[in-house]
Amino acid sequence: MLVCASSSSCSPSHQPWSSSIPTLTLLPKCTTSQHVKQLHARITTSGLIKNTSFSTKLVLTFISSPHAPLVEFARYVFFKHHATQDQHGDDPFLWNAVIRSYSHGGCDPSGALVVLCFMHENGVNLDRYSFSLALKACSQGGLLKEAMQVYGLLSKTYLCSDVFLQNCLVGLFVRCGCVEFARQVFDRMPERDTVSYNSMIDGYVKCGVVEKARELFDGMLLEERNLITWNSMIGGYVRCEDGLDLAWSMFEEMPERDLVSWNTMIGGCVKHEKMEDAQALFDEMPERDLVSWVTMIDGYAKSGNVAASRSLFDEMPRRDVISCNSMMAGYVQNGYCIEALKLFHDMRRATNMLPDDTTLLIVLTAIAQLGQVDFGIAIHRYVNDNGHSLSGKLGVALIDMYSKCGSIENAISVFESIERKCVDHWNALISGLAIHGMGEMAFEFLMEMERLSITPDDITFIGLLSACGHAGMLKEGLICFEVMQKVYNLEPKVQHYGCIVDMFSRAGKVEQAKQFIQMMPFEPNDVIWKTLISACQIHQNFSVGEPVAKQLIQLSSCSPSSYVLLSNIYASLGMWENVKRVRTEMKERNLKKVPGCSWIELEGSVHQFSVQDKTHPQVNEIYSLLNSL
Amino acid sequence: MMQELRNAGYSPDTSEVFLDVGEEDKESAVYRHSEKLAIAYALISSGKGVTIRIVKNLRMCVDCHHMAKLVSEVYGREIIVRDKTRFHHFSQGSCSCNDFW
Repeated sequence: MLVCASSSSCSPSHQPWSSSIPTLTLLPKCTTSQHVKQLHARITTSGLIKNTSFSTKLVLTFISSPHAPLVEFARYVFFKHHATQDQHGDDPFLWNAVIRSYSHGGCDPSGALVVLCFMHENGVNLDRYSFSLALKACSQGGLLKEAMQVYGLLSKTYLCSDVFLQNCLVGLFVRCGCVEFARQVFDRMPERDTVSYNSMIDGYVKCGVVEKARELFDGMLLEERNLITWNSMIGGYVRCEDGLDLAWSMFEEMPERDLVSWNTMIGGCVKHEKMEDAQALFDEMPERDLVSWVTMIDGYAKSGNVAASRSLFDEMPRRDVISCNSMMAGYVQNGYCIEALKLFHDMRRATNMLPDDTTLLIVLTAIAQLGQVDFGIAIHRYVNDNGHSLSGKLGVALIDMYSKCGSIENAISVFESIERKCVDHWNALISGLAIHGMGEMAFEFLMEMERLSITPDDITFIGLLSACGHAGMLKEGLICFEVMQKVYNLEPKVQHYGCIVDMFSRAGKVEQAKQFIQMMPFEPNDVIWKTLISACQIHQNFSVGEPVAKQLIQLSSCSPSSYVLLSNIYASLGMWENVKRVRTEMKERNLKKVPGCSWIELEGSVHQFSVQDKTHPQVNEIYSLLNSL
Repeated sequence: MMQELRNAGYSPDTSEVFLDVGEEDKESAVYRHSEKLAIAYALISSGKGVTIRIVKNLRMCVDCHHMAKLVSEVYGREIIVRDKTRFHHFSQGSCSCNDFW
């Protein structure tokens, strides 16, 4: 390799210290831990490691390298050969470089503080950079207590009123969520600049306290405010429910705008469902970037206008993974799963776009809705081949997809293959077992969760309760409901109550279901009422069913299923006049019952059948098979 | 197909047909449910031993459920139906939901 190239034999003239290749020139060529080991051997045997200027150069070159083995080696050399040397005791430069490697590396911010402590213990002067790097490390790691200690240390030095450091402190407290502390630091500052105000305003905006941000903003002179100040205020207002008008007035007032201002305003209009205003801004803006396009595409998709979304997507000058993801998500949200999958195929064919984790999540959601297991298996293979990790959301989506496609064995095997499972994985599996009616197994998994000390959450219990419902395990379901509140201190939500009502209904205990509903601490939603009415109809309990159905129509008069339920109750009792009345009312309100529809996948293509369908190419054969009498 | 199913004991269950029509019309209404069309199509177009997978947007009615059980027995096929709330695995004349759905 590098170093050994020069010492191919063991004769004395070929030892490292007499090599013709200067070690310094080898430094930039090191990239791996093997190289580091060879270099270490060389400089130790040649005595170079004791040379202070060489070791300083080595530390400085390696400490900011992107390769982890080099950074570690630099730290090692520093601590072994520099940190305790007296002659460089006063110069913080090298120390700062080492602190920087921890705070900018990102993975070990607390290491920066250890170095700072060591520095302080050795009596080295802490300068501006030392403090600012340490504070940056605290802010990255959310290390609030340590930050307070650094603040204390700082206050005792000559740097206590340095504006830059004070701004760092304000920013840090804001990022840790302690806006009050940040404000205290801010108020005590003997002098402030625009950055100070901006950090404080940003902090208030992120906590949702826009009024305080506005006070500060109004207190600033016009020339003190910069683009960031204005943009933060607009951002704060658009996040409030009724702040859009104020955001607009700021937007009109600001002396100049940049891309962020336009994008924030568009995002605000989209959030408040004012798509025409958003479109007007989009057409007017002097230049657009990816964020602008994606916000618009996403906004149209959320408002249900998939066609507008797609036409914008087609207009984009340049597409990337994020815009494709947002278009796919828009399709899936609006039920156009097949189009989403088609877009995924186009992405795969395009050479400049590699699907990322988000893409795969959306594709798996689409497949789960469609129930096309073959495609799901192909995606699973893709995930494995490309080394995507299943410990996060991707694993959850995969389990969910297999469950919803009917392949519970695959869901269980994916679950068992994941090493580090979080509660979401368990929830996905339990819900999958629920829809397959495997109530006992769902309970077994709950026991396993308890054994592994994983705390179930309210979603776990929704899965368990619905499993009990499907399996007809009423007693177990009620016990589960008690356990959830008494043992795990979880407040049941409307979905949990819905599951219990469903269980009572399926077991025919209509009166108990009604009593249970009356005991609910909040208003039942329409799903719960519909469940009760269906039960009344199946178990012929007209006295409970009819008034509830009428009440339901009052509540949710736009939903066809409420009318259908009422009409079915009348029909089951032979009250055909009433049936006619209800169905006429439906027609008057232009409500159509959702027609029954089945999909079947055969040999890679999906066939759809509606009730009394005659549109399929092989319709004659189908009906003749059904008819042969 | 209907003849074979009737021989195996199928008779149309019209308890869930809420229309003001005569029994015969109710029977024919039930014949045309989408699951039946899908199952019939699957029987025509796929060979023996192929699992039939169907997705339905509403709850499966009693008659279609009964018919699917019989088809799985008479034709020896596995049928998996995902309806609005849960899965039904039909195999050799019985369903994974144990007739409780």
